[in-house]
Amino acid sequence: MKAYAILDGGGVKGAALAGCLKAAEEQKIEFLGYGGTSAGSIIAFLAAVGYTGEELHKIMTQEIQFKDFLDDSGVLLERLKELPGKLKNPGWKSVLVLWKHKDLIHTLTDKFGLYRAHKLQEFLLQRVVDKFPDFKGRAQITFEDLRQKGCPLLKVVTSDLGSRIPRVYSALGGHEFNGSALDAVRASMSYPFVFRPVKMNEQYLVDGGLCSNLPLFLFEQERNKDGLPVIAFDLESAPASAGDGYGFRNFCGDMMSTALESADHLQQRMIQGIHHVRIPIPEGIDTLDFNLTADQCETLFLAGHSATHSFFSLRVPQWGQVTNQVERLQALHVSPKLVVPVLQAIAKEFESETPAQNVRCHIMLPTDHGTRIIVYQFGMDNDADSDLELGMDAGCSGAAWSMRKPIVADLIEAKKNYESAWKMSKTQQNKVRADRQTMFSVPMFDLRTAGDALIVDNLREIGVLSIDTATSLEQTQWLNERKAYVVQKGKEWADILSRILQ
Amino acid sequence: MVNPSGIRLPDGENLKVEVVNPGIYSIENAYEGQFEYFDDRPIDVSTQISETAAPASVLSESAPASRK
Repeated sequence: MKAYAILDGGGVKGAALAGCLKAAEEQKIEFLGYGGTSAGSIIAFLAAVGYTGEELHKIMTQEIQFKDFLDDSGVLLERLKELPGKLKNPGWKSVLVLWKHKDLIHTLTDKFGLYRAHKLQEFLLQRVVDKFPDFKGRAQITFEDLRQKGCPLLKVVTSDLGSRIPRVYSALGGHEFNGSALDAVRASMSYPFVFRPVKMNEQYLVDGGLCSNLPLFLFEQERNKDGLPVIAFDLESAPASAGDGYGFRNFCGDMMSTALESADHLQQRMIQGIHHVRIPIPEGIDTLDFNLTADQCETLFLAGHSATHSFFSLRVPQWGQVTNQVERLQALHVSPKLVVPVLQAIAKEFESETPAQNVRCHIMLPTDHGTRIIVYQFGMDNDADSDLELGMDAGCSGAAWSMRKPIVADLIEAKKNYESAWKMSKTQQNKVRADRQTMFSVPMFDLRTAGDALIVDNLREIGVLSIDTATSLEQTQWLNERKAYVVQKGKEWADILSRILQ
Repeated sequence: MVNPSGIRLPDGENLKVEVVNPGIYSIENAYEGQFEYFDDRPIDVSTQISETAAPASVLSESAPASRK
């Protein structure tokens, strides 16, 4: 099964994401793209470069030393964490505390963050060179470099303080294709005040989590194009309690966490159809706990692995049984058991309400390689065209897809000019059952987006419903006496099937 | 929610058929007319189109320039 992965930000909790990818790999999920924010962008970067789940396991639990990414091994950070508590006492003692921490305050006011985190970039660069030795000696790795190496699509989210918007960096679009992936990752994980912002093009870029810690929108364009599933791996910490002992430090931490995570809950309501894997983070592990032990990293890895394994086993168990392209599409939508009876009802209705006889019915859905294939059918079990695969605009159904309108076709006429008018090869034409004379195709639209679209032009197409018969076009009356009935019924069945498929 | 099958031509108007290619006929105005959610209570879709806001554009998918 092919899919896209979105990885949540979570500071030092990234080991859990490695566990998620390992479990997904065990389920034979092939990610065509990785995207993420902050720690999610680091794991996304490593996965895109080619590190397997097991390799990520080793990196995140044995090799990585988070405190090494802090230039002074975390001394300043610990002082920063303790500062709010020390300022609790009013009067001259607070002034004294501020005086003692003037170097810390100066670093913050002068550099906007405590650490440069150059070691993180060196760490990532070395990991890339380990996979691609010809990059040795390079100071930067661009998105375009990774694309040319055939790596899966990588998307990194940062927050642009100048424009006050999220910026998504990838090799896909825009005008600067040779940008630095390392800088983008470094900017994405610039946790406010801990890491210094990255300055690019006279703009400060900081932690992408300020805009979207779990950027569910990252692969919407790809999803609309190829229909592949998007899986979001969400690191969920236990709710904070404001009980006894809750102090200013807790308040600041919770406020920052709320700023980083609250917008994602709104996004989850707006963006539908994303597979959401929730990973409960074990208590006692904090986003900024750079002194994480190897055992804690292993615990995180297992939490991610377990949650993801459960998700695949319980929520989408059919994914693991897929053996071919048709089954893959059926697994992504709905079991044929729920669709075929509807197709049978359509065929019987057209036989009883119009002069058409020997009616078959099918649904073609787009594949991930620019074609359409019959995924659900009634009356075609023993026919050679039951697995017909065509170009997006080929055949009667292709005309309905490309023109976004109901199409009626005279198949006898089609046989005369299948290449020029129908864009079908001889092999494809020969597969069509010989007795077919007439076909009616109607587009199926994504009704989940219908709330935002008052005209059909704005709806996304998901497939085409087609009905064919051994009766001639003239005798079916589909283009004369029964035209209004056929078009209206076709539209209604297409809407019903769209609902079932989604 | 507007479902395409709810959009129907007003009484008296006919579906227009165009020949796309020999043997291929398209129904040109299949999705034109009025929207009916409940029977016999049409909603004029055309007057509401202008009220829909354009989707917000928040993404800029260009890679960052390398620091010199």
